[in-house]
Amino acid sequence: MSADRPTPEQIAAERRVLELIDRILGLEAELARVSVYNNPGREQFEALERENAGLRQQLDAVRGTRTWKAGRAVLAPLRVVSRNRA
Amino acid sequence: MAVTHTDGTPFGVTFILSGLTASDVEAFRSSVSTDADVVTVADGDADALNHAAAAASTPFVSVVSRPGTLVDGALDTIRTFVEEHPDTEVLYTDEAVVLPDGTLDPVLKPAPAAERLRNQYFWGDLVLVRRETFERLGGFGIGYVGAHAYEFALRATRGDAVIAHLAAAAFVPAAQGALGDFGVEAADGVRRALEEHLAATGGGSVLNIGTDGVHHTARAVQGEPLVSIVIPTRGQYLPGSDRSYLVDAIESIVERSTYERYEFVVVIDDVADAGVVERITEIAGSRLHLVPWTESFNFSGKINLGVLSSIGEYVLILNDDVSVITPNWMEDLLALAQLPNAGMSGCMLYYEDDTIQHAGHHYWRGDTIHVGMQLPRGTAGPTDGYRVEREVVGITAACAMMPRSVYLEVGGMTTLLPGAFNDVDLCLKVLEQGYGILWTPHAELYHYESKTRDARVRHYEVQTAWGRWEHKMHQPGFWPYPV
Repeated sequence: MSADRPTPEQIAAERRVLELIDRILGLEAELARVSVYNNPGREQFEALERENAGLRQQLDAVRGTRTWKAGRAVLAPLRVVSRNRA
Repeated sequence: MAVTHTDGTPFGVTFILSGLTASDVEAFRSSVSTDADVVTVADGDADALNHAAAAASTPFVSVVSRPGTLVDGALDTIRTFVEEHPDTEVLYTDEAVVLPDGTLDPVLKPAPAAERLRNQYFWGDLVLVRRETFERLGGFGIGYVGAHAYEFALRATRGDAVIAHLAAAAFVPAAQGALGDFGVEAADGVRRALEEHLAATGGGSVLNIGTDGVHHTARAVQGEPLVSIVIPTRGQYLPGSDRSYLVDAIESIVERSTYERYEFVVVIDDVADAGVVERITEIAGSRLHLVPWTESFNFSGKINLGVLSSIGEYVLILNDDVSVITPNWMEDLLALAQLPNAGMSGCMLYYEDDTIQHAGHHYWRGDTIHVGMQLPRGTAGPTDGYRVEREVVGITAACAMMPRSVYLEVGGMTTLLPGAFNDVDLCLKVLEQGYGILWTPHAELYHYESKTRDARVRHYEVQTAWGRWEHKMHQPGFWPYPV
């Protein structure tokens, strides 16, 4: 079961993507929490949103690399199997 | 009788009392205010009830088949709820039992939960349905003797009806009985209703109709996808012993599991004992893929690396100190993880002394709790909650199955939480992306995690987890109980 596993380089690129997505979702959660409890001012909100925008740019950059695209291609057949039921 | 809302919309309900004695009817009638009409149907078959509903002139109808009374002020509470939630088409309420001292003890119900409903009719005895909705859905089905309310409820979840739960006790049954128990005479009707429901919602089988209102239905596995079991481990013998939890875990999976299409992805520290590696290689053979971990401890990082090194369509995150009890465990988890919109599925874990370690996560008043923890195996739990497959807000990463696509979509496990709360964070990310999480009592494992393990939590872990999710740390919907 090892013939079509991703290469170490592809895994490294995917790890970076996972971390960026996690940080983005974490920041979005933090924004929601702050808005619930702290009634934040515009500056605080804008700072968090700037940070989030920066992370999204980094995510797009990693997803644009050849290594990451190749890693996705390795596992692509697994992802086309539909999980939907009738 | 229609009563006008404060916003001008008429409100009113016709209670259709079915098969009750004259004294039961009188007792119920005496508890009803002027917001309602009360009619009686003697034999209580579906056709007669449908005719009674069609003849009603109120916006809502409610069929009451069990002797009991409304709680004082119940209709005012219901009216207020409907005013605040005007889209409500089907409404079920909490109930209460009378204690010896005369006070009421509430029977709390979970929020609308379609998967739980196929194992237990938890809506109970007071359900209000908009008359138009009742007619649109076709009223009660014919031929489900004694179980027409259950069949209607299952059918309502399959359509577009807006189903709501009023978390306030509104009904007091005259005699205490199991929630959703329709009696032995309704068993055939319950079975037929469940079989039709499963067939209409992706498949499954009815394994047992319980005489206590708890049924065992199982979703069916679709196809035979590869499951990647990702196990992070130090890979060492226990101190002063030739026993290794990892070896035992892999042995139990290989020997007991009935599902056959899986691989092990073992993320193993560079301090692992050679004897352990040799033994798991012998046991797992070609199923084994070893992934070396050379970085400092980070449970989340190890899981992420394992998932990215795996090739399964589904990933099963598993601690290395578990042992399989039920051979069908992987099928039960997989069938739930394959449901439309499912993000995760989790199992029942026991300590070595047969007490419960985990029956789902619970986020309650700012804290995170394992449901059922340290209660004896076999404990039913509130409203039989430890016995039914059900929707939950979270599960432990000691044993969690996920579609690989969902794991990647939510960014895997956060490496900002190397030890504690990383599973809470993962679950909340999954929920936040709109996926559901399901738990099953039928996939059972031992988890040898010590009750007395060092569970100290670092300050930064609390800061990180609560910094993200403090506003989500009270979610009583699917589990409205403290423990």
